[in-house]
Amino acid sequence: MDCCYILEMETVQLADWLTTIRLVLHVFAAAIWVGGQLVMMGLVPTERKLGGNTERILLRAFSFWAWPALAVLILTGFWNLWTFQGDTISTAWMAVLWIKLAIVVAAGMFQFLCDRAKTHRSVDLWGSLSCTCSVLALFGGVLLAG
Amino acid sequence: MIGEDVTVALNADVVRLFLHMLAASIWVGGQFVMLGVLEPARKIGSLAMYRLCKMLAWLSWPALAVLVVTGIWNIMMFNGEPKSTAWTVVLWAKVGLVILAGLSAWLHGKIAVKWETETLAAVGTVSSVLALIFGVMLAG
Repeated sequence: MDCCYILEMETVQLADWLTTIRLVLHVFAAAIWVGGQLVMMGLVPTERKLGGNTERILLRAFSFWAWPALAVLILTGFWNLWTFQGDTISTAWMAVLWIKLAIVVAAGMFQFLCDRAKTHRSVDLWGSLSCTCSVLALFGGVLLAG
Repeated sequence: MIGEDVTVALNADVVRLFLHMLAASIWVGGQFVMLGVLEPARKIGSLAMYRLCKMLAWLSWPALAVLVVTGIWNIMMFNGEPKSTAWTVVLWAKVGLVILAGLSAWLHGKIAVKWETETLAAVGTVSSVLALIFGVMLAG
């Protein structure tokens, strides 16, 4: 029997408003947390040359944005997970998810230690560890989103 | 309701999206961090302000270049697929906003009058955030 198969392509549509709100909040908070840390890595050594309390002032100003951003990231992260309810989740996906969660916790802890660091050396150490973890978490997020 | 199969795969799509997200983080996040640190830096002195702006520019322009290249790569992924009118309108609005953001940032670095630089910085930041929102809407 001859059969004809007509390949119909799906029309590309915009995301619905709820998905847009969820993803915009998550991406925006990630931009402030990750992008902010990367920018601070460039700013702090430059400003340190001015001496005085400059480094501390900049770190305090960054923290004002960074911690609320991390809170939004965690909340919207759980919201993202909730949207996968009812789907069949592979072991690899689950493993990446747990690794990502561990990395996010580590990033938060290192940033906390960076905020309380007393020496330039410890600011550099905890700051760069936090930034590395944040970039890895971003990569994990992209991997999970597919 | 039958759920979808969710799995992970390390492929070119992941690299493309990661680069786009990382560059957007530096471009948008950097502007917001500047909003926070600019006032304290202003109190420290004009040299601190100058250094901050110079360093941000050094980080931001390569990020915008990566954003544009990966953005074009993103659009190419939809090649040959029929698009809704709303999707096409949002795409062109996003392209316009990215041009506006880049232009504002460029002029911001060239102009020395305080109220003009502040206006340009605000236009740049708002258009960058709107471009981010439109990007999410397009990605679906």
